[in-house]
Amino acid sequence: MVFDSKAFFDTLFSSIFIVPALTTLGITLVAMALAMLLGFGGALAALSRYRALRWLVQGYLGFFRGVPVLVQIVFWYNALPVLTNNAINLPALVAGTIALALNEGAYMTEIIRSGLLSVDPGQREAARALGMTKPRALRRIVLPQALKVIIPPTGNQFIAMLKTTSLLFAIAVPEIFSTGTNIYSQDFKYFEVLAVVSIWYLGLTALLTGLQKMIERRFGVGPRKSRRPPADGGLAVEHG
Amino acid sequence: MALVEIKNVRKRFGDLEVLKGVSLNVDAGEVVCLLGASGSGKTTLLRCINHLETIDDGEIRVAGDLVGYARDKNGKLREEKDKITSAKRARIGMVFQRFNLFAHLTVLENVTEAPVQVLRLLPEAARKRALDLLASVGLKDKASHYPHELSGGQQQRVAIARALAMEPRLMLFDEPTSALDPELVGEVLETMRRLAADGMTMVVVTHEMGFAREVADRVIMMADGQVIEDGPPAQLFSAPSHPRTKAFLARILNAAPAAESRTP
Repeated sequence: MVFDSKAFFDTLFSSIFIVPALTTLGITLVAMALAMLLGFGGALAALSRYRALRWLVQGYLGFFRGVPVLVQIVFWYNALPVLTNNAINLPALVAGTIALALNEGAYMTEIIRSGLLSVDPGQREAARALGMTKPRALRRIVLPQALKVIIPPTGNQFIAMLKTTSLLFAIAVPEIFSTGTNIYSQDFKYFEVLAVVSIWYLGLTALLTGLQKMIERRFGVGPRKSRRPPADGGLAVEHG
Repeated sequence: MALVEIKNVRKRFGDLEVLKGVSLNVDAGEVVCLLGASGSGKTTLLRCINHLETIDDGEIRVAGDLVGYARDKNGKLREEKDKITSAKRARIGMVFQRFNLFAHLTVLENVTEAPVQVLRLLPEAARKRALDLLASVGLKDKASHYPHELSGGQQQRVAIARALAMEPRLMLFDEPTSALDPELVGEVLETMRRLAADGMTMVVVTHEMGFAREVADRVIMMADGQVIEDGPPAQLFSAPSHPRTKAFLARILNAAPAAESRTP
């Protein structure tokens, strides 16, 4: 095996990946933010008492989970302008981010729905019996408890999204992977360049993982501890 | 005027009619126990009083107001806005079989949450009220604990304090001791007994015959979605008039109290 370590280190320490890395991170954050909003709306609609809303969500999930995300990306960038006679002609970055967000929204809908369902209905009922309106009971009582279930898989989705942005090389968005393809198509140092690309993704993934741990601590994922040690010497009786 | 007026209430779940025209009144300061076999409709009736369940026919008034419904121009009942119902519910306390303390909040926060969020009490005032109430149910030292760190009996006493923090004019109890280990039942009943002595209006669905006999002003026997007997406990327990009441009492009182009278 011939490993060109000079080419590897030159690429690794060149500044050429800095802007693409920020682009990748930016797309990830924006697409996930949109996806979480979509997912929240989708989850509420899926749990709504109105059948039409539930069907709408089913259609959304069925379509966006069923069509490969690469197909969706090319649709938003290449097919939509043709379909609309150029009335809608989005820049690659925008088209790509929308495609990723809409696709991800379907998965976030399911994650948030399962989070809301994980909260004992008695919690909401107690909140309502105390005079809280539906939105307030959701915001103050149900959602904080659902977050414990929602946050871990959402962290997974964040990391998956970070890597999925590499598909945007298909519509020439200047993210990490497409920047790498530009380099190796000129010098044919496939392995060295892919190694550097991987290191960038690994670094960003580590960053997101750290962020997830911080958020989990903040929202108390894991068993709750009282803020002061129990006065009775630590004897607490579990009751389910 | 009665504090709670229930007139000819009907309620069905699908094909099953669980309330078949129930009427009863509860006066202010009265303690009423609802008895009956499981499936008799007593818990559903209780949940209709604060509109946790809708009703299909009839009407329920608390302090003269319909709860959950308003009459339109043609005199027909329509479900009213959530906001209005919520404001009415705020003055009706409810204690659940499974406590339903907010799991993500400490004991103190459980008691201050609704007064701050719903009644717009200042946090400091709510805190003071909460600590007083927790002291009155003997749990002031548990204020900073989370619900899962308490025993069932302690949780239920916190739930009572949480309901009282809203200064309700009526308290509804839905089998408050049925989910408790036998040795923890006493502390909850004691709390309720003191509440009754303080003059609180209470409607209690229970299988605790001792409590009903000693504390209730009136005992109401339900069967198959109807009230079959309504009277002072002394009369109902010693001389039940309806054969189904006799059968029910015989079953409950002859069985070992800890086993039969508390469905889990």
